Amino acid sequence: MVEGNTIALFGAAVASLAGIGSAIGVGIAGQAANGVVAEDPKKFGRTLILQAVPGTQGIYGLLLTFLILIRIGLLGGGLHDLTMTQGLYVLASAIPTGAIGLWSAIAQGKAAAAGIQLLGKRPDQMAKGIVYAAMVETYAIFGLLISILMLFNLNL
Amino acid sequence: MEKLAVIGLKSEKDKLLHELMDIGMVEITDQGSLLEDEKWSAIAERDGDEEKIAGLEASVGRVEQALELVQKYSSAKEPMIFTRKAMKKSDFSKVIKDPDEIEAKVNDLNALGEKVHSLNDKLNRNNSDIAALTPWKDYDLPLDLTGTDRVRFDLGMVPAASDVAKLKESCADGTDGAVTLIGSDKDLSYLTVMSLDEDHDQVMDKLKEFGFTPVQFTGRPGTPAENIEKLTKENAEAEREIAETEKLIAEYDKYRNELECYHDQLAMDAEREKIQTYMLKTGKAFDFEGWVPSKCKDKVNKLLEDNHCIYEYREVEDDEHPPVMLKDTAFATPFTAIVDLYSRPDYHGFDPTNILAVFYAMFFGIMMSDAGYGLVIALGCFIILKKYPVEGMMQRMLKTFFWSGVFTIFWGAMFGGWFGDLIPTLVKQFTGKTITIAPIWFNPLDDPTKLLIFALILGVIHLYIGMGIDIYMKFKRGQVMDAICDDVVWMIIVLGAVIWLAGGSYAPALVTPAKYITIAAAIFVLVTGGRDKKGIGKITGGIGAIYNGVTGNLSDILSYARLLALGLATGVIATVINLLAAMVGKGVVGVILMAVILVIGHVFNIAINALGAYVHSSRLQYIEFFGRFYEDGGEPFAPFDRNTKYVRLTDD
Repeated sequence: MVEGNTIALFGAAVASLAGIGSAIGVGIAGQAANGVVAEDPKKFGRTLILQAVPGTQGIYGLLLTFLILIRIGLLGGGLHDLTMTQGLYVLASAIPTGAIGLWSAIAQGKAAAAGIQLLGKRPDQMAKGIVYAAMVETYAIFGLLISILMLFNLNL
Repeated sequence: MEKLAVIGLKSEKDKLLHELMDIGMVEITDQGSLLEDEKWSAIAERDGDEEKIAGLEASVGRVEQALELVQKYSSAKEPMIFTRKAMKKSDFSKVIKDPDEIEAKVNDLNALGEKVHSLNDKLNRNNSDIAALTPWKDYDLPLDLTGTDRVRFDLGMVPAASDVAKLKESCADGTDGAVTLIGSDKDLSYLTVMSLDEDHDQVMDKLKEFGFTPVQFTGRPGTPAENIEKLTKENAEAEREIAETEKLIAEYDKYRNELECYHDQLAMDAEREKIQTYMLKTGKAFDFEGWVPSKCKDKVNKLLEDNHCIYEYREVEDDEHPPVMLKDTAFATPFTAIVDLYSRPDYHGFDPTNILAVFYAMFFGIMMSDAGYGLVIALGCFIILKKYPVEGMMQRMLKTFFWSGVFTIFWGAMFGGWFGDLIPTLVKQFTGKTITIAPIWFNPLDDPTKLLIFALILGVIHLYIGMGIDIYMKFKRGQVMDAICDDVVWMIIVLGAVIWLAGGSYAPALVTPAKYITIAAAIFVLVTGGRDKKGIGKITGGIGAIYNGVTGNLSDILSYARLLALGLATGVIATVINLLAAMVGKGVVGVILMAVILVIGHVFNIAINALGAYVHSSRLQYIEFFGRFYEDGGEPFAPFDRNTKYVRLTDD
């Protein structure tokens, strides 16, 4: 009985791992932003926008972690008694968000860094840099979507 | 947009240009290419006075420089958001009625700026001299003393690693050289060397082995210590003078308005001179062409007639690409900002601003999905717009976010989010009672699948509108077959497949017909997909069309799932913030801490989610919607108008 809950909590932890990717991605973008701001400090605000773009995967991770915690009753109400199988269900539902988020945020960080370089050279084209970076996000959103569909259609 | 060609008398040109600038409705285009035609080059030549332009631009530069100085040193508070101040034309002329006087002020200011600049130079030079002299401060002979009748004095350094004791020994061995160590730091040892005239070269050779580098302080009478003292005194004086000069510059702050008006007047004069390089002239006449929006024709005509010009219009030709003006309605105009951030549509393409406006604000609202946050955004934008008369891109962006905020309030109320569950949390915290704010429609956390389906349906509608525009444009151009094969058939397939695969529980009777219609449409694509190709391409083209169509439509529709993902993210993070705040909110300190957590947390959540909503709402327009029909590459309409920077001129 207890094992199911433990595994489900592992699931909540796995979902939050997307934050690793966001930390790396935001870091990569931040390095590029420093270079651009060194030449034109007025671009700080706009580089910040692009730097924040790879941060969303971490938020999706946080989001799913909380959804799992709510779903298994850790937040609000008592903890459900989950069977081993149910625990594994929850763990499985966490993997898309955690894994896709982790890698996509790194890739998005690189795209955002290139967007920041674009901003340095052609400030008028910034919106396109944002769109290129946002293209990567689609897959993180799909990951989150799969996780949510799995989690909410499980019989807990 | 229509092309205007004008011929007039040179004597009227100046007045005409003033008036054209005031109404700002004509984009004057370069006529230079006409001169390649011998008929034209025989009678006309390029107008414009390069020297005058250069002179005016130099003046603008000097006023700008003077204004920068005032801004830099004045203590007056700069406004948070820069806006042009509105001014009546008559008041404007009054302010600059005496240009010579203002010019004198500009010159004074620039002279003062030059003085600060050269004083700063001197300060830097002196500081580096002081740095060079400091190691020698214990040397008590005058620096310009290079020796006596028989003895030579040399100053120099050796690397700190060199053994000075050995060096001394070496110089005294067989030659008459006395070395004194004056000082040392972590890199170098500073030495003075006295040697007999006849031994000087030998001593120097020995020193070289230890890495000796001679230094000379020419033109510096007095000991190093005296020199340092003198330079320090000079610096103090220079600093005092700089402060004084800066104060003088700051006093010019009261003339800032005059300077700004003068700047704008010169900038307009320069612009009027520059535009003439686009025009042609003969002995007595001038000629120019330009684009005029059709709705402005009457006003332009009257102006041209008043100035005794001969003019004619012609329609845009198919291979011409005139500048583009976007739709102009109170609600949609701000959203031209979103279109402009991508690219203006081609003149012959479709202007989607109206449709984009509705969907942009709606998607933003669903992704933000919190009525409280919507209120904050809408109110924030509203207050800024009321307080500052911002113009251009900034104004359009603020209005875009205002409307997006309004839509956010609507969707937030539908989904029951008011700063997450802040109100129930606070009520429970302080009274212990449990209340809930019921959503008007449903809470997405209770049934995410429902919101997902809703998001995908919205996506299909959005894409259908995009395809509808494409069909309309293709019909207009007579490409009926393309419209049917690329758009109509796929609209049928998408709808048919949805009913076939998912309609079973809603309308079972439709499933079988939908199935056959879908298959028939797919076969149609297979047959027509390679219609432009030859030979084997006819077959592979059909397969390619099916593959591209299925993957393209599927990924485009699924892309709208981000409405759910971002919508849920806002609500859940808001709930987490409220939860954290409620955990600490006991006792006086706890309640203060709780308030701090709530404010910081919700501000952060608004910022990060507004960014996400802005980015992803734009993306759904640019990639999914525009991808269906958009022809980009239009140049914005840039009429010849008042190019002022500080003043917005209004008519009397």
